[in-house]
Amino acid sequence: MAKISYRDAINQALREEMERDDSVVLFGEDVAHYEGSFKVTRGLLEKFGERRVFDTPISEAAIVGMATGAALGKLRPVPELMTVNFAYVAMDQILNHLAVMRYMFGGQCTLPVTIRMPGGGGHQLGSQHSHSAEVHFVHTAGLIVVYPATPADAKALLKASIRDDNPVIFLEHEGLYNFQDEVPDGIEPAPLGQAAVLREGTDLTIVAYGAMTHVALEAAEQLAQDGVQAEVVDLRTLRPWDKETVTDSVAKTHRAVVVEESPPVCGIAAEVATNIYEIVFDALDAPIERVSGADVPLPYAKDLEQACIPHAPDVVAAARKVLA
Amino acid sequence: MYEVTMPKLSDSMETGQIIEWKVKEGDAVHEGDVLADVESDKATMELECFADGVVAKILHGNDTEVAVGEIIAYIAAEGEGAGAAAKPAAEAPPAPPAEEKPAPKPVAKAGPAPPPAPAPAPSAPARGPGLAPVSPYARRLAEQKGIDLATIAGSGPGGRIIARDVEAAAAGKAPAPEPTAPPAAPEAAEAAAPPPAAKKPRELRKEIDIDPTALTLAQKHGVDAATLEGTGTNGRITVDDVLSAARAIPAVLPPAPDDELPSIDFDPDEADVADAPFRFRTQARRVTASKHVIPHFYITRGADVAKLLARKDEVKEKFGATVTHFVQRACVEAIKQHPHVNRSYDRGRIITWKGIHLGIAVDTDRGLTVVVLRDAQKLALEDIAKQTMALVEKARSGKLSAAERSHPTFTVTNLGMFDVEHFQPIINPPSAITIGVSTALPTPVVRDDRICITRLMRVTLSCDHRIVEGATAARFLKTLKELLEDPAALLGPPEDEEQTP
Amino acid sequence: MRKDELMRVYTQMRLARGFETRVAEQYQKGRIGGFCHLYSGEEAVAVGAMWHLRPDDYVVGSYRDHAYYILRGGDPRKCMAELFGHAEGCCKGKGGSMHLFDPEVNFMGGYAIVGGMCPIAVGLGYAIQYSSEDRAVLCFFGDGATNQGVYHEALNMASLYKLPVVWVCENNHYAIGTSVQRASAQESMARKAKAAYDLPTYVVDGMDFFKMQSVAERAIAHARAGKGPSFIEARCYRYRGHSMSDPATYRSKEEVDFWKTRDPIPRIKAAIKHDFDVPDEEFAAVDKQVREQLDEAVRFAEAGAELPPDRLYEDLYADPA
Repeated sequence: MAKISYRDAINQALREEMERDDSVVLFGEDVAHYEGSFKVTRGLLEKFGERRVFDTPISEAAIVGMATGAALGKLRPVPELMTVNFAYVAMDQILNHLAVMRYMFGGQCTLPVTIRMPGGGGHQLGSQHSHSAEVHFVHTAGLIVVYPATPADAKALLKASIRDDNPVIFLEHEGLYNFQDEVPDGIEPAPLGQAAVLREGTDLTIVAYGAMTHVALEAAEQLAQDGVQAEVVDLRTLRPWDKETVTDSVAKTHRAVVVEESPPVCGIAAEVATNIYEIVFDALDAPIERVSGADVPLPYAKDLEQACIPHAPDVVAAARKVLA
Repeated sequence: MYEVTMPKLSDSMETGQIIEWKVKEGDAVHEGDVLADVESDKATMELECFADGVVAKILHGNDTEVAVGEIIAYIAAEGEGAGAAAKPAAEAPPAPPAEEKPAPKPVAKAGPAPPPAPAPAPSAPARGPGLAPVSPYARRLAEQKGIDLATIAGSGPGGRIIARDVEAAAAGKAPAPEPTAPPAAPEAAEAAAPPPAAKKPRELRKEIDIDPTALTLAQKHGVDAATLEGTGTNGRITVDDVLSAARAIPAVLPPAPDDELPSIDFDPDEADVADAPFRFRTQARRVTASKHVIPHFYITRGADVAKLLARKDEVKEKFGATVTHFVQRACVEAIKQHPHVNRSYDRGRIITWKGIHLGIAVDTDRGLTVVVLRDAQKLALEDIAKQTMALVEKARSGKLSAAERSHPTFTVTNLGMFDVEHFQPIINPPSAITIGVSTALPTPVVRDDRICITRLMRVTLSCDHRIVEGATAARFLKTLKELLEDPAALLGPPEDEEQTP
Repeated sequence: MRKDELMRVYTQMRLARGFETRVAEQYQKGRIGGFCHLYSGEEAVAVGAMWHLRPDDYVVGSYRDHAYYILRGGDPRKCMAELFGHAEGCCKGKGGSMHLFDPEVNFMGGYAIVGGMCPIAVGLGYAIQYSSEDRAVLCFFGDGATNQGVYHEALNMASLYKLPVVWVCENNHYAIGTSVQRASAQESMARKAKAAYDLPTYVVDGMDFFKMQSVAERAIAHARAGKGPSFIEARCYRYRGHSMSDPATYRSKEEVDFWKTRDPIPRIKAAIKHDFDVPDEEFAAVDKQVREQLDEAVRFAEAGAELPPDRLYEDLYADPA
């Protein structure tokens, strides 16, 4: 067991999967020579050579389309889009080609593409670089969407994503790259579509994902000081998400708070909350609280931007509301 | 025998109009030939022939409207007799696509059905509107522990009864009197004895299990939702339930004018009967409606057009203008001075048109057509003449665009060329006035105590009394008469011609 | 070329043309719905471009794909059934006219987004290069696609990485109702590609099978040799409107008639007669056999049925996650 960073965990997953399967290839902007704008792909060009690890021009749509075509040609591509914001340039290829082709061709092709995308705000990068765009992918049938919160999950879920035969959108949070945590040696791929209960409790359930999982855990600590035991559920996979684990938890605690970094309108929290209402309505002792990002494009100014992103006190306030 | 059917030329097309057959019975045809011109709801397209052979029978002629999929002709293959074309009634007609395979309704929910709730939901004790809310979990607990919710005060936000209140009551303790959300308490106390106000939709929905959209529709259609049997899950009243009920309520429809007349019965040897073509029927409907609905009144004046006729001859060398063109120009000038006649009335609304769009009745061998000369207020007499002639040409060859046929704000119809002395036209909506122009007859009149012969042309205004009053019409007609009698003003440029800077 | 080869060219063109005519008929009878784009007139482009392909080469193309599918070796019966939306169709009725697909003959799809197939062709080319194979990818698209952003991205990457892609631009002079003159600042598709992406380009009469196959042969050989992509601008014409709902009022009758005088089918027939003195009966026999094949395709389609709704969620994911 070693403590490694989220970034290195991803690097290890890529390395191990490429060693294991010769059909795994990796490409994107500045991933090879530059070793990645966030340095996630450090050392991979050196190890595997240009045939398997190469740089592309600034052509997000073609990067995704090329991955789709390579998958049709029996490769297992893991392209990187430098940030999730640039995925918008490639939306047609993602939502209207990659996601639909298997279905529309009557199941005659398999597209084992894993698109890695860092995302998330909070670093004064301005509106165009700060989206949490998971919603668009989660809404689209044909895609699988994964968003790990911990280094161990990053490694295990990336391995699973690469081995899965379906198109996977693998989201990483830029703010977590340096976060270090225990990762078991030889960790196996984790099952996709399974949430994790990171903290047990009886008084309320806090559901979160990505960087917000850590916010939820911090809030749970603060609540514990007042004698409130919060159960924290990390979704890990956003589509398909683990309804059973979440609703079992709410059936036990009777109260729920859902936390997301993205704005609330038609968001992940809306989806989770509605399902909780539908499935365990009679277990609820209070309406569900959503804690979401502000419904604005993110501003540049430091404090103003921070006001747009949920922090532990926001989650604590929401928890107090459902406990009232 | 190859069946030629009315083709589906666009997704929305349900019937098509056969404009003109290009082949006749007995003609040899080949794959790729054009059989006819067919009009869909969007455009006129060529009907392609997909078989080689001879046209055995044409079932529907020119200018007929036929449903998509209906057989319109038969093509006999080489060696096949034309008699092999069976009557359509004998064969099962090709079912229109909508009937072929009734599409099952799409699954309402996406994904597998959710697992059942952890505990079977017991029927809650009936709670009227206006009393304190109860959380679902508390309700269940109360049922399980046999506690009457009416005896508990809620300590949750807004006085909501929540689990701890039920648990406290079950444990024998007095219900916590202090709500943690103080501002809500007075409301809760008041709400205990609600005034018998009209039920708001949200409250109603709690009593009857009805889909919110269905409830809105029920109110819109005057359906009492409480009397409906729901066909949704657990007896829920759905949108379909409301709409079925709404349709069953007979609407009070205005009688169709045609129905008031007794139908015409006759023996077959007395007369031939054929279905009126599409255009004919449309025209009949519109004219009937105009006469039936619009209260017509008529005023007539004669104008001495001797000078007008002289001017007409003068301008002949430069451009040909008919009496009708002069009348059109005069009407435009008169309308400018009496703009209130350039309006329409429609179901309680007064529509004031921004331009003068002259409708001119044209006789073509396809029947009566009214062409529309748009923004006539901008045109000099020469332009009016030229543009009107161009429109008439288009009307005669069936090439009018939609804009050239619609919204005449004032209509002119002239029967003078047939020596008609006087007639009262039927108003052509949306025009409020339709003017009937008669022939110019030599007529004796008294002028300066002497008898002289003038060329007197009678014009009759048929007016829509809903929006045009007698005095207005009379003033308009006076101005018009003056313009017709002294046409100098008609020959200049229109007054609102734009000045280039 | 030998007589049997040329007769095969004739047969293929008649099959493609005949299929499209049948589709027009069935569409007007309401059996085929949605958008339907016919290839009539352009047969020489597809037949010529594919003439030198091996079974293991890939083809991708646009939504005007019935001819690509059939000429690549797809079953016309399954094609017609797909157009009818029936489960017996090549994509179980889930794709429809614009989304035919048959991996067994390496026809990797018809695509409805203009230009959207171009990066997919790049990916296929990359997979070939990765495996050090000498296969090629033919990518068909129209004049309209050459103004789409992703088209430029794809051409750039294919040239940059020297991928074995043959770009076949079917310049039929119109993108729906917009002529090339009104859409492209640079009216020569070939010059546009050459200036930006530095690859061998050809401009060819797309109504002439012989010229088409000759140019395609060179481009495919270039790709197989690992020298990278080529660009073929095939000047051709579609005799019918853009789709079944297009009355094509943006083209004059004179223009259409002019291009009909250059119909590739009579041309190939004349060439065969000239070189081999083949009697009319032989052509008639081919026509009859094609007609029967198409009758069979329609019967097969008619006899089928749509997937029942309880199979709606099949084929969404591979081995559900």
